[in-house]
Parts: sequence; C-alpha cells; structure tokens
Amino acid sequence: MSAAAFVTVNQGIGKMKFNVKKVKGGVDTVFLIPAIIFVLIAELVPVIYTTYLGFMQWDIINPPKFVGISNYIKVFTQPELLNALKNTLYWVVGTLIFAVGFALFVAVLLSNVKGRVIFKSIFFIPSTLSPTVAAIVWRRTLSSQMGALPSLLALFGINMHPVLTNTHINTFVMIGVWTWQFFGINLILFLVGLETIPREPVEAAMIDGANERQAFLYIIVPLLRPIMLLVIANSLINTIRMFDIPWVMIQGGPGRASETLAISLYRESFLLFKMGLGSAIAVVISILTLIASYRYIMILGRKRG
Amino acid sequence: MGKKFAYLLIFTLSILLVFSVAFAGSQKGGSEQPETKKASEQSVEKPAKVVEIKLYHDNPEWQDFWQAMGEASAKDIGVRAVPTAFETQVYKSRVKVDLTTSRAPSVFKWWFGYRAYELFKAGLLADLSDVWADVGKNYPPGIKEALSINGVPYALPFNVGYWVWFYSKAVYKKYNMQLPKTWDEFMQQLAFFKSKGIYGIGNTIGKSRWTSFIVFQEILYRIDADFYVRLMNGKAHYTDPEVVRAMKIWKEMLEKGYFAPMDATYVEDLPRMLKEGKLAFAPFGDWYGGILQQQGLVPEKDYGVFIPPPITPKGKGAIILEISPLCAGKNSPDLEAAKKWYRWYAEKHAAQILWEKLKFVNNLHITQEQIKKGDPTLAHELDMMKNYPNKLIRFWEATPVEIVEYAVDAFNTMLVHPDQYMDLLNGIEQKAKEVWPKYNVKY
Repeated sequence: MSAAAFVTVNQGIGKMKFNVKKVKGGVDTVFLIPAIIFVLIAELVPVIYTTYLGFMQWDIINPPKFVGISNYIKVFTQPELLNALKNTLYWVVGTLIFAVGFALFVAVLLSNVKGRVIFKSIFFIPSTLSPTVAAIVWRRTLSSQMGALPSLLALFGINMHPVLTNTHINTFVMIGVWTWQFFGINLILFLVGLETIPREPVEAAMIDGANERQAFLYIIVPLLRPIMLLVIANSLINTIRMFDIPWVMIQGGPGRASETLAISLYRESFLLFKMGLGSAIAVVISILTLIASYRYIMILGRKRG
Repeated sequence: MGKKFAYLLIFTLSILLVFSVAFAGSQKGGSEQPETKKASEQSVEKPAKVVEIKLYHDNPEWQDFWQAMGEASAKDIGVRAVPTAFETQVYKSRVKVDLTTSRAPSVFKWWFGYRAYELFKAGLLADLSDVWADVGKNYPPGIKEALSINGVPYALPFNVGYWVWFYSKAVYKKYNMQLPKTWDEFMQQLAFFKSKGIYGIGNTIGKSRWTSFIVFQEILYRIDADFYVRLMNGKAHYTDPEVVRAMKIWKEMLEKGYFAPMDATYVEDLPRMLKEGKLAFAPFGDWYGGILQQQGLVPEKDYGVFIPPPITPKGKGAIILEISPLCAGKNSPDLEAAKKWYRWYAEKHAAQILWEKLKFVNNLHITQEQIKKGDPTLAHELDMMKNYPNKLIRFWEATPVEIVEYAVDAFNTMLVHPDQYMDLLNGIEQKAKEVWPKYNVKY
C-alpha cells in the first residue's frame, strides 16, 4: 500500500468514526439488526408459537383445533398436574433450604477454618457431573439390587427398602441428590462472598456487644446479599424447570407420583401427544421462572442503570 | 446522500447475510430428499444401481441387525434399507411428524391395534395389499388379518411373539419342584418361594413404567378371556366384577410379598436374579428370551418358559399375542422401492438373518428343527401354543392409547399402593368414559 493510499484510508476511518458518533442511534442500531433477527427467530418466534399452541388441541398428525383457555384451566385443575405443581414447589423449597441454606451455614463455619480449600474441593467435585450422570450414579447406589448403600447397610444388619419407588419419600431423596450435586458450588460462591466482606464492621459490632448470631444476621447477611440473590435466583430457576434427576431416576413415578411440571410438559407433549396442554405447561413454567427471577433481574438492571 | 447509501448498504448486506446463512442451511437439510428421489428414478432406468430407502426403528441395540439386512437386500435386489435408530419416546414423535411430510420413512417399526389406528385414521399408512398378494403364502394363517384394518393389510410382521412366564431352572432344581398345574397350586408355590426368601414374580418398574400392566393383563384374561376382549373394545367396564376380582388377586399377591423389589430393572436385575435362583418367574413376551441370552443365560439350562393355568374355565386356551409390525409411510417418495424390499423381506434370506441375529420367527421359512437347535425354549413354547387357540391382543395395543397410558400410570401406583385398587379402577373407568366416544363407541 502506498503512503498516499494509507493516509486516505486513515482519513476515511477517522471520518467514519466521527460520523458514527454523530448519528448515535443510527448506525449502531443497524449493526444490531442481525442479532435482533437471530433473537426473533431463535427465541421470540418459539415463545409466540408455544403460547399459541397453548390455546390449541394438537396431536401432531391432525391439524390443531382452537380450544380457548381449557389447557390452562387443566394445568391448575387436573389432579396429576396439580400434583406436579406441588412437587415442583417441594423442589423449590427443599433446594432453598438444603442446597442454599445449608451451603450458607457450612460456608460460615468454614470461613475461618484454615484448610477450607480441601473442603471446597471435596464439595465441588459432584458439581462437575451432569445432573443425568449424577442421577444414574445415585439410582444405582440406592438400588435395592446390589446398590452400594443397601449393600453397605446390610453389613450392619439393616435391610434398606427401595426408596425410589416409595412415593412418600422419593421426591425428598431426589432433592437430596440435587443438594449433593450443587451444594458445593453454592458453598464456594458463599465463601467467595464471605472473603470479600471487610472484617472491620464485624469486629466493630462485636466490640459494641453484638453476639455472633447478631453479627451474622445484621452485618454478614446484608453484606452477602448480592451473592445470596444470585444463588437463590439460580436455584429457583433451576428447580422450577426440574427434569433430569426425577426423570432419569424414576421417570416421575411410580405412576405420576414424583412428577414435576417439566416432566408433565414432556409427558403430555411427547408421551401422550397433547401438544396444546404441553405448551400451556411450558408457558406456566416460563411465567413462574420469570416471577422467580424478577427481583434478581430488577436489581441487576438497577445496578447497570 | 452518501451517508444514507452507506447505511442502506450495510443494512441490506446484514439482511442478505442472515438470509443467505438460513437459505444455505435449508438447502443442506433439504438436499436429502431430491437425492433420494434421484436415486429412486435412476433405479428405474438402471436396475443395477442400488436404491436407498429409509428405515426407522426404536431399538438401538438392533441397529447392527438392520444394517446387515440392508446390506443383504442391496445385494439381492438392489434396494438398501438404511436404518436409523431412535430412543422410543423420540421415535414416536419423529415418526408422527415425518409421516405427514415427504420425509416419511419407507419402512418403520410400529405397534399395531389402536396404536396403528391413529396413523390409519390420519391416512398416513400405505396399503400393502399387493405385497401380501405375492408373499401371503409365506406366513401362517391369521397374521395378515391381525395386521389389517377394515380388511386392508398395512404392515408385514417383524416379531410375532406370545406372552409367557420365564421361570428359573435353578429354583425348580434346588427344591426339586414341578411347574404348577392349577392356579391354586401356582399360589401355593408362590407362598413357598416367599417362605424360602425367593421372590416369586419379577414384574417391576425400575427404569420402565410400561411394564406395570403385565400382571393385570395376565390375571384378567385367565379369569375370563372373552371379558378381556370386551373390555379392550369398550364393551365392558373397568368397574365390572371381573376386573375387580383381578385387582383383588393382584393386591393379595402384592401384599403377601410375592413380587421382586419394584426398583429392580427387567434388563439388568431380573435376568441375574433368575440365574442365581433368587427369582422364580418373570412374565414377558417371548422376545425376553433374547435379553436373557444377551445377559448370559442359557435356554433350558438357566431358564424355561411356562404358561400359568387359568383361574376359571373361562380363561382356558387363551394366550396373549404380540405382533410388532413394519409399516410403510404413504407419503414416502420411495414407496415402490419399499414394496420391492418388503417382498424380499418376506422371503427366505431375510427370514434366515432375522432368525440368526435375533432369534425371531415370523414366517414359515424357519423350520421346527432349526428352532429346536437354535433355541430349545422357544421351540417348546411354540409347541405349547397348539393348546392355546384363543389368541388375544396385548393390552398395550388392544385398547385406545389414551386409556393404556392412563392405566399404565395407575398400575404403577397399584404396584406400590395396592390398597388403592378401587380408586385406581374408578380413575381408569372415568378415562375410558372420556375416550371411547372419540372412537364412536357408546360406553
């Protein structure tokens, strides 16, 4: 390239930069168009289509038929779906208590322990597995047929009955599996949060006569709020759409006893080919997830603003 | 003017870029069809060229078998059925979606009875009358009729099997026992096994919800085979005394602890338990023999088959028949090539491969001697069938899918909460009331 040509090109670029700034809201918007089109095709269209299907009766092979809001009514009246809603609620509350609450408790206990890096590593390992793998491993571990846990208990003369086919406890057992898997990652997030909290306010509170519980509740917890919000939002979003663990471990059964809303969605859509009802469930799950993550999104938005 | 032109150019280029990518993708996806068609057209002009047709199935473990079949047919008749295996649930939706389009598979494995009826009603199955006219002589009587709807055959059989009870040779040898000859004797033996710490019946739901209907079906038709048929066709009710009696018998068996733990799996756990003498019986279609052999059990050494006696005289001479059909998509662009393949499939070479690879016998090309040599348990079973002229369709296909799916969930609950049997029956009855009118049956 000749020197003259180089100068011309540079001048051109300089000129263009100037122009871009000048027409703010013009060219930059144009550059966003491919991304906007992608979002429209990949996200908005499926959302609109799913919502539309929620008002239809469709079995894949025959044309869809408009049925009004009857699918949405079924979501909140059909006993099996109400049970799925109840199980989803168990998942949400159960994981908040164990995977989040217990992780916070252990993080506080470990925050002053010297060898906490060892605990961190031990607790973190399960979260490197996919939930499907974790579910398979635990299904075999709990199996009354040569499962590791029943075999171990048998050594002490304890006869362990099948837990996954016990409809009274299987959901809680599976919440335990989820806790085993994601407790570690929550623990690490809380530990990171705790490490960033300055010691001075805690020490000042203690000097002023606050006990450990008060220091925790009134100093540490408020300062941990951003991390807690992240962990809670993440837990809510993941458990409202819980599928992998109860599906792989017992297919939402026995019968439909441990079914979650996400399993109902799959079952109604792809087992029973009630695409309309399946879509209505999908819409309900999306709305619940949006509500659950609303506060988190709002706070994030406020921070950016 | 220049600025506006630059913006317009950028905007146009962006749009073009997006659409060119999308178009390229659609061209790539859509290229399969014209190529297949081209191959089909070429085959008419040049018979030496191999035509490829689509074959869908839901048994990944049999993919090698289908590939071997494809290669053999390519060599014999110049038509290669190219198999694609899917997981069962994905398979159902994939087949249903594809059947309505020109991507429809030329050959696909399905279920018959009411499960095929919905495809028939939507006009998605190809009429195979002309194929049957050529190859009907290769099949035993009754098969064509079993694969027909309103007198028109829409499938060829893949597996024709009967539902029997596999029993553990180890258990019977250990206690030097004979198989029961009456239902009461059968119950006494189950009680004996329980006292010895042996599980009587392997009918569990670990990893499989569908298996929950088996014992219900097995008890009900032994009470009254005609009633079973009427119930399946919407002419009897789930709250009728026959069904209540069946549920009570089942409840008693469950409460007495005759069943293996419900979290056992029928592919991994039950075969091992049968072999080790920890389980006496496992009721399944005779295809289960293949699974047992895959798990290392030897027919007539580790396991045998047995047909429990009827509970009342009305259950005498009846047996459950299962036929898995191979159907052709009406919208398939390769229908003629598929029909050529079907004619080949009904002949000796295909029957031999089916026998050698899967131990399936679906036509008359496999001799009794071959069966006796290859699988003596199957030979014994087929021999026993002479005493069971009343062939009943399996519950899974015999009644509308909506009722089956609901009932299977209810029976899952029955297996863990037998005391709820009446509530469960009321629930199934309610579902049947909703469903039958859709099939123009006054219920």
